[in-house]
Amino acid sequence: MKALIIDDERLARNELRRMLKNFPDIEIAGEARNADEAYDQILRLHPDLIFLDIQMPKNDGFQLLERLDHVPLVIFTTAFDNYALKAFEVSALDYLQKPIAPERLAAAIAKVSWRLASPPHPAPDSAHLDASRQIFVRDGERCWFVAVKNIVLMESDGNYTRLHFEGNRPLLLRSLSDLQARLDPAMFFRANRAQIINLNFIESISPWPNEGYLVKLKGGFQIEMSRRQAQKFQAIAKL
Amino acid sequence: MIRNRKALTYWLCQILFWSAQSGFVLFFVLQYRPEGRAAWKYCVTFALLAAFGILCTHLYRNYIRRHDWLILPAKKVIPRTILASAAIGVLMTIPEVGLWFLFFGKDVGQEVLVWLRYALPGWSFDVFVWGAIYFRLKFNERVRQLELEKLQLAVVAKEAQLQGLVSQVNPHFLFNSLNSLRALIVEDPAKAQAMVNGISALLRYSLQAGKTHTVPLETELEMVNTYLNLEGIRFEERLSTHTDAAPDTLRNQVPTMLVQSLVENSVKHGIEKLTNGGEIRIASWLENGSLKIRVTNSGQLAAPGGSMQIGLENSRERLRLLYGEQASLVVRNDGANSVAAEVTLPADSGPIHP
Repeated sequence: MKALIIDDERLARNELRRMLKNFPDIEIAGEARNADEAYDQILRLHPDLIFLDIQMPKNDGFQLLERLDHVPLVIFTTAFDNYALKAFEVSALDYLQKPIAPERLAAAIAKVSWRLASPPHPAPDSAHLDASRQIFVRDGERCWFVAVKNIVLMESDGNYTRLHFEGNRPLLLRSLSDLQARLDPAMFFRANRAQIINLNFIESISPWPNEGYLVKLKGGFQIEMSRRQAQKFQAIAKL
Repeated sequence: MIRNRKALTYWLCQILFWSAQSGFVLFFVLQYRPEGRAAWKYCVTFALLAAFGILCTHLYRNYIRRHDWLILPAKKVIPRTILASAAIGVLMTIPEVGLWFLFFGKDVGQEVLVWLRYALPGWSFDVFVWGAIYFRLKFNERVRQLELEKLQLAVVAKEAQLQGLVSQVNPHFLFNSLNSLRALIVEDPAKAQAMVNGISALLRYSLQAGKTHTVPLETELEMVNTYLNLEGIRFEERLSTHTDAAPDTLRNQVPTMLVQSLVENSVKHGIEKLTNGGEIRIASWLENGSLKIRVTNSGQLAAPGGSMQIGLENSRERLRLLYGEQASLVVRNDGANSVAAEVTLPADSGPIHP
């Protein structure tokens, strides 16, 4: 398992590195001192797992995750940061408190190893948002790691995109067009100017005036499709 | 608002006191009014006298305030007020006699001489009573004020003690330091030992901060230095510090943890936010009879609001309670890449309210 340590303090990185020596499965591929370095390293090294300190100069750990198209498994570390602790709490995320206790570290690693072993991990390819990959989104204090395949609907909201999944609807700081270019066309379809739908969540399709379609998605969403899009849709969905 | 209400109360009391006094005298004088004299002339006379009484006692009040009679001991105040009452009493009879001649002709001299024997001590007595009431009310007000201030100070001191643990040696710093310590135990045991002593000293100082309001600047700076050394272990080359305290400022009393909290702010909102770190400078000097302490750090002020503002407001409130208007704390950008916090304190001695 390839891991990356992200922390702005040298002693903190050294200590974690020393503690990780007890875990032969973990190969430390690199270290980063801030969010920018970490971003570059993640794109270059494709780690399976990152140890992420929340409080760092300029951009914090959350901001780093939001920038990533594909978020590796994350073990958060924090000394004492009210804001981060609140976010972990409301979002039910695991985190390690510094100084890190060896048994807590072992438990966290056991948990991610299990997650890593269960579904086959996708080969890294930064051009596409593979459906089994996860992204990181925030809405106020809450944050989620969400697998792309679980997103029901993406809606344009100003310059950004509102995601709908499992009853949540956080805003992702990317444009809908930007997302569309990175999504798997076999799973996601641009139904109209403002919406991308997940084909796996379609409940029913009914005719709509002017040779369009009205698509009903799980969760009660109703999406109108114009004639032009309906034709493309037929080709993809092989109706 | 409170000022206005106090002024309103004062004037209402004045009017009430003097109209009661004039009304009372008028009532008796009218009983013995000789035949043929118009009652309205009496009424006008006593109305004017009431107004004059208000004027005299108002000036009397201003005199009392200007000469700080309110804080004099009783044995000094009583003879002063007796003398003042006698003098004002004499003054009050002048318009009274004048009005009498004006309204009732030139040949009332004999009559005036008769009632003047009562009027002179009467007016003086009235003014003396006025003074007694005024002093009594002011005394009550002062007692309430002092009690209030004592309460406020107690509350803030208690809060300071709590904050000594909660915000002053803040948990973020503490746990990060312990984390560094865990690494140092293996890498550099001697440095780890020194770090344990540093953390202990800082915790002890912070725990005691609530008990003493002020310490010599030298003591405070020693603690700040310990703190910065600890942060230096965490931040390594990202933190550089410089202290320049004028020797004649070191014995000056300063509020406990005041400089410390400013320096913590500098780390939290300055150095920690900068990828390549920065510098913290501390300077103290005497200027125009005041002690100036300035803490400068790299960076720029964040938008208003947030935890820094709360910390600064607490410090300001503490300064206000300890020194009144004699102390201040100003934080502003000092050039394009620097933030300066400047404290002004009274030089020498301690706070007004110990």
